[in-house]
Amino acid sequence: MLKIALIGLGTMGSIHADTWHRMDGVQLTAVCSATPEAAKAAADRYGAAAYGDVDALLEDGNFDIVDICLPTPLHKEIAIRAAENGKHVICEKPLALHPEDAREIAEACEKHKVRLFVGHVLRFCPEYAQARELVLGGALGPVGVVHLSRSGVYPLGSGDWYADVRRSGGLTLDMLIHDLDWLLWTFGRAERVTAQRICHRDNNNRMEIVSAAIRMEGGIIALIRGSWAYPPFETSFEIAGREGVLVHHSGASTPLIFKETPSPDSGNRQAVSIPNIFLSKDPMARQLSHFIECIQDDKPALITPAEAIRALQLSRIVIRAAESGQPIDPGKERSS
Amino acid sequence: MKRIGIISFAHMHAYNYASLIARHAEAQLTAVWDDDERRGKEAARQYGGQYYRSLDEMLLSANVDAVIVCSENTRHYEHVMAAARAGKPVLCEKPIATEMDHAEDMIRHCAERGVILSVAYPVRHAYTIRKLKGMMEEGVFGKVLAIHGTNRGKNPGGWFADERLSGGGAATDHIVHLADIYRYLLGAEATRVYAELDTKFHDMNVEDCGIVMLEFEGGIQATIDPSWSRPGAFPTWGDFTLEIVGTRLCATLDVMKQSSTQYSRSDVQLRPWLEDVDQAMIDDFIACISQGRAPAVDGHAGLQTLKIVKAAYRSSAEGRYCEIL
Repeated sequence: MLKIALIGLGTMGSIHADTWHRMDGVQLTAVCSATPEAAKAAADRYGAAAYGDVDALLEDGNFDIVDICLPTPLHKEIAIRAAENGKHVICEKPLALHPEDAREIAEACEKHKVRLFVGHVLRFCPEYAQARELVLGGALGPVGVVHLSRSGVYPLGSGDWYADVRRSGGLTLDMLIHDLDWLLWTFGRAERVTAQRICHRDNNNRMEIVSAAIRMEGGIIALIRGSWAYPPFETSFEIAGREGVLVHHSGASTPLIFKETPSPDSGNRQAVSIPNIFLSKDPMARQLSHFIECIQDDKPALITPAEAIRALQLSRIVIRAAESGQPIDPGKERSS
Repeated sequence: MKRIGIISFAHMHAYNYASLIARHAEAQLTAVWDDDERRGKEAARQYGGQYYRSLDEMLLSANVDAVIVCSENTRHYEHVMAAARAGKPVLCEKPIATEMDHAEDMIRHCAERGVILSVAYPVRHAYTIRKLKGMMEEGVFGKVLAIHGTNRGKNPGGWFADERLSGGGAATDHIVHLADIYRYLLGAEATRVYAELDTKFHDMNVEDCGIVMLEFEGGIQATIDPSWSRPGAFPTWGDFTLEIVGTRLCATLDVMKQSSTQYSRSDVQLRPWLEDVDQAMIDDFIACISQGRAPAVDGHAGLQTLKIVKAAYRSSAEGRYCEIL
């Protein structure tokens, strides 16, 4: 029975906690949050010990895995300390703010002989995994043009850390890294990256919009688009090859739709909780149980630290390409 | 009753234009010229009108009030110039030309002779585009930050893939419609263009796909996918989609949504029931001739969009953003 300590109880942390709680063969033994009430509530709910700071948590040490669901700038220090304490590390994506920091984390985990898993959950989303298999199996013939898009509202994190680009890396590092990872995973190296990025802020709202045109090895042309602007959260892809086109749009793939009849008290009626993932085992559960299997069976993970670093590098290149206003050759960047 | 002549049926759009004119209350198809005599005679027989072997003879005859040019792209120049010389108003299939100096000549030549020159951008007349334009002018979008679009099709084959006649492949064929709609909606010109163009889908010597990134005045950012990437089983000729991101409102448009889906024994087809935008375009052209007013889409719109196409080719060759000249 592997024991888990979860650090961070924001949006992602709560999803992780719930997923661990429902999973067989693991035990969520500790939860840690800078907000004591959040730690206490989660601890009560899941039968775990509550901690208000990482020092006390690591001091206790009654766990095998540290699961980090903190704002990105905090990943590095906590991950390295967990590794030094001999704990396996599961870390939400992006692994760190900069590739150098990510490499330090990976090196620390290697040195202390613990496993490192990065939550690139998109690899566990069945539509994306299937698309990759179809592409690699030749179902679409040689691929020419790929569109990947991801959009949703501007996220609100603790202390509004998402809005501080130096702390979050913005939309590219937080959201588009999923699509960039999928692109690298499926098609190999990126050879030329051109990007546009707009940040808008006024009294009512704030928005970020990013587009990147990426030439992959083999000449595949990809357009990655993301926005933090409007609900609902939506993803889509379109992969066009010589023999066929594969199209996915999250908004068009809902098998079960609910419609409520109007009623006089519908205004103050408790809203029914309606799922938006129609899978008995959702991507997060697939991902976290895969990580557990990797530790138990000592097998390589579907997403390696090196791949997580590669996705981070490409995300940084997209940001720099948008700043420079001209294309960037990632190969030249690496060698310089 | 306006008497319309069609110069060449090389471009397949000529058939719909001919059919619309043949049925039009205020116009009739009276003349057809085509360098392919069989094609020209067949069209004249089908839609009415006299077939001419000599273009000059047709243009100088009293049988024609205005012409529609549907020849191969690189021949638009000579045909529009000839129509202008004869003083006949012209509706020219897009792109206006394949060289910028040609387009400039055509515009100047028509202006000097007081000849109406319009370019066939029928999407301008779509209800949804008009609706968006109106909303944009009212300011309901707030400040528009970005605009994205796809105008993808199947491989048109034939002369479209022959650079000497088409001037280029998918970039020439499909960038202009969206580029024109962006200019129209935003009321702004593109300032720089980046393009990745390539040949990935078909065995041909022209580009058949790509991604184009544009910047418009005011820092508005845009993308276009003009690829001939729709496979044979795609349920329609292609697509026309838009996404407009404003600070107060976001809109997506997919014109093919106004279709029913037909499942047959071996295939699936979309049966569009959207309004025929060609009809509105032909109506506008005929009204222009009758009233002597300017067309909704003039030669300048054709030139500005051609500039974007040319910058896209330059960018793709040089691997960097290119300024619009």
